[in-house]
Amino acid sequence: MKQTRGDIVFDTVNYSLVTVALLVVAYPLYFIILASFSDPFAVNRGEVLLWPKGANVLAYQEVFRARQIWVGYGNTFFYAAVGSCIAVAVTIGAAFALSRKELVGRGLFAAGIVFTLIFSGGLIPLFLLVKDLGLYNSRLYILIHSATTAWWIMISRTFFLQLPDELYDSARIDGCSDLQFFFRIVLGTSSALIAVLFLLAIVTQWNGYFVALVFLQDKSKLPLQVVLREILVLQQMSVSESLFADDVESFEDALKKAELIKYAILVVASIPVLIFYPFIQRYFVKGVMIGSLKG
Amino acid sequence: MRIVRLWVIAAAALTLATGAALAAPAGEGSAGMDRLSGVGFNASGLPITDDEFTLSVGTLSLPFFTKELNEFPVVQDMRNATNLAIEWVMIPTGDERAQKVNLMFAAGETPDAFLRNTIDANQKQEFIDDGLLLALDELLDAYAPNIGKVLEAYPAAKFAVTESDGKIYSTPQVLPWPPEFWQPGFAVGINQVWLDRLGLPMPDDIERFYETMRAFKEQDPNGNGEADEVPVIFHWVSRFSLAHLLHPFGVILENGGWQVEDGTVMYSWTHPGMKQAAAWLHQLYREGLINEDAFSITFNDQLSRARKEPRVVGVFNGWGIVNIVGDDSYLSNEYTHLPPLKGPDGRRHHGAIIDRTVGADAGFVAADAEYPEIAMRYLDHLYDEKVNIDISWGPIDWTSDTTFRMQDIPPGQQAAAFRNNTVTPKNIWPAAYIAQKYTVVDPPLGVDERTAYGRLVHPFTPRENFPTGLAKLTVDEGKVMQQYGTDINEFAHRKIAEFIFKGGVEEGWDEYVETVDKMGLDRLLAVQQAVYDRFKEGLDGDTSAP
Repeated sequence: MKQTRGDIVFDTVNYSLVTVALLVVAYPLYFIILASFSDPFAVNRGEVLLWPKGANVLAYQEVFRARQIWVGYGNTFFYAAVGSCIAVAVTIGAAFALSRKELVGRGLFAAGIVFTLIFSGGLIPLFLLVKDLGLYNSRLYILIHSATTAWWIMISRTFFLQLPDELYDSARIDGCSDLQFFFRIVLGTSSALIAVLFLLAIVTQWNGYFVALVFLQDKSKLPLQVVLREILVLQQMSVSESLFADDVESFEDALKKAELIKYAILVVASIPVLIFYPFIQRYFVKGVMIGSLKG
Repeated sequence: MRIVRLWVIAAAALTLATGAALAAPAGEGSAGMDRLSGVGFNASGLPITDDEFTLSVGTLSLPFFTKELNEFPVVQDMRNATNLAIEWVMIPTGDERAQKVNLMFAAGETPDAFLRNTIDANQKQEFIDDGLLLALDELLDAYAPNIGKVLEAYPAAKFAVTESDGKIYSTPQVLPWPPEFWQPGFAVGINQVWLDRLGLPMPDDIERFYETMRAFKEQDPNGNGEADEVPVIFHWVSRFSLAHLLHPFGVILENGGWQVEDGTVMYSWTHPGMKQAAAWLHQLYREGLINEDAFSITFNDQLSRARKEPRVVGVFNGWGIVNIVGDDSYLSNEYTHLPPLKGPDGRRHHGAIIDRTVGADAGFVAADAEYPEIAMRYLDHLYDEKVNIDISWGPIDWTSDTTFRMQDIPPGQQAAAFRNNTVTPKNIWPAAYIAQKYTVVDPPLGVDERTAYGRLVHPFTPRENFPTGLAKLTVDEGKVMQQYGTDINEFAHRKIAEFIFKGGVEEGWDEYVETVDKMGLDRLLAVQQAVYDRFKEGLDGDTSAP
């Protein structure tokens, strides 16, 4: 097909805009990788732009040496993998039940769940509850604290409400029990929802740090984000605010170290997400429509 | 009948309970002894318990350790000696620290003991009021001979740990190295190579300093043909970072913005010298003699620029030249210390921090610890002189009874970082060995440098100093400080930054002082004056730098 002049102009403009957009998005990522291999002080002075300066792998050596980072890494993997399975199972089960008209009192349940969107008990009661349940300093609590959220249940319920009733009726006629209907038909038609829920749950666990900070006490159970956070906090503290005010020397040493490994840690912490993302990305287009009400 | 019997039982139970409670801390009454002998507790000597006992201890979480706390050799040595297995309870750094500690106390889920840097002064006061921290006086007498020795040797430490109710709730801290090492907040380095190259003498007063800085700026002392020199660099975030530029005017920022003249506490940010200082600094700033972004850069930014080659920085401040630019630079006299400058009154001043070498809050025992005696003995063990040297410096070689040498670190590693992260997590322990008694052979270069700087400036330190870190506030005083202090400090910092940055101090000064007064400065001053008077009394009237 011959392109008209207008087409060519359009394409050119389009490509240049997309290229600019690509650069804007990709450069910060490139910069982080670049910075992780460069002399941190040169990075700080703004001398690193396109090529590494004072290229070295010192930062990675430090990262590999710091035990806590790897312990955190392992924990985060565990919390994300197991936690997301729990989250998907609980959310889909609850949402499906709430979407069925046969469920007695479903309005009440739904209202109860929505209630938690607006009100919560506060941190101290939660802490007391967790402690009394014997879940303080337990990995189990990290796994189940985000077993589901009202928000996830609501979007999943809306998704299930879109399944035609006729599907259920015909399955029934063919001798399908409720459980069979759920496992064979509902799950089979909800792969987009499941993928999105997995993504939400994994991201929640991957990024979560506050719950771990408050409810865990053993360093061996902490997720990676807590370690990253400690390094960042260290950087933001000034000498006088810091609790190290009586030991400025080691505080300054810690600061230097934080500067050195900051970018390398970002790279190390992001790799799994970068690998994982393409596998789920194709569900994303479908996924973003989930839960939206269609007139 | 039944009611009477109930009363008798209740009364008997009450008597028993009170008796046990009273006797328990001293470890005397039979109930206390049974309880303790049940876990094989020894009132003195090692091990602390005959059978292994698990004690939970709260400590600050630090990210760079290369192993678990229990894997550090010094921790294992202590475990073998005491038979106490420590269950470490990590407490996060940053804003969440206070939150987590509050939650633990609110829920009664506290470790038995806390180490340094976990509970800050404000929280401590609250917890004491709520009865959540144990008063240690009796336990100290009964079980803590090592801590007793420290308190006896350092009256200021005794003063520091004694709270406003006259009781002791925390264990003391005595940092190693001579007092001169700790007294100056930040040391000031000046580029000696540049001075020599331009044939300039070491600046002696603020006039000469200004001219020298102009020369640094204009005469290309680093010889690269570019006007990339930054004569003075600082970063506006800490109580130390600006301090050296205010000293010539008699303003002492090192003690958190409070200074004392003729027995009267003054607020440094409205000190008359501050007005002159702001005008002078504005001139420096306007002429580009101070880094333009002084108000936004961080410590690391400053560090990066100071290390740049060829050198671009003329004057910087920091913990020391060794720490900022490195050993070589100090040894080769590339940077040397800038002596305090003569101010407009023809005198030299330098701040001194007298609350550094001794302090409180190095260890606490929670009120609901099941075996406070064991927690106390554990804390006391940390103050054993030899143990304390080990945990402060890692495995060492004794060269005589009173001198020791730190073991060498692997090549290519930063000394302090290596020791902190691999040899011993120094920051978490109370530092308490008796400094005069033991000597380190070949101390790290940074210690030499700090001590030299301390000696250089000591003659110019004030005769009276405000003891910010040692100040003990009553609950009411604490409330006043919180209510007015934050706002006033924030406002004062912003206004002074504005005066330096944008100018206008001549016109704006009176209004600024008036506003600060209106915001309630007199209340703060009343509190601080009372605090200072009590402190002075506690130290027999001498608050000069030792």
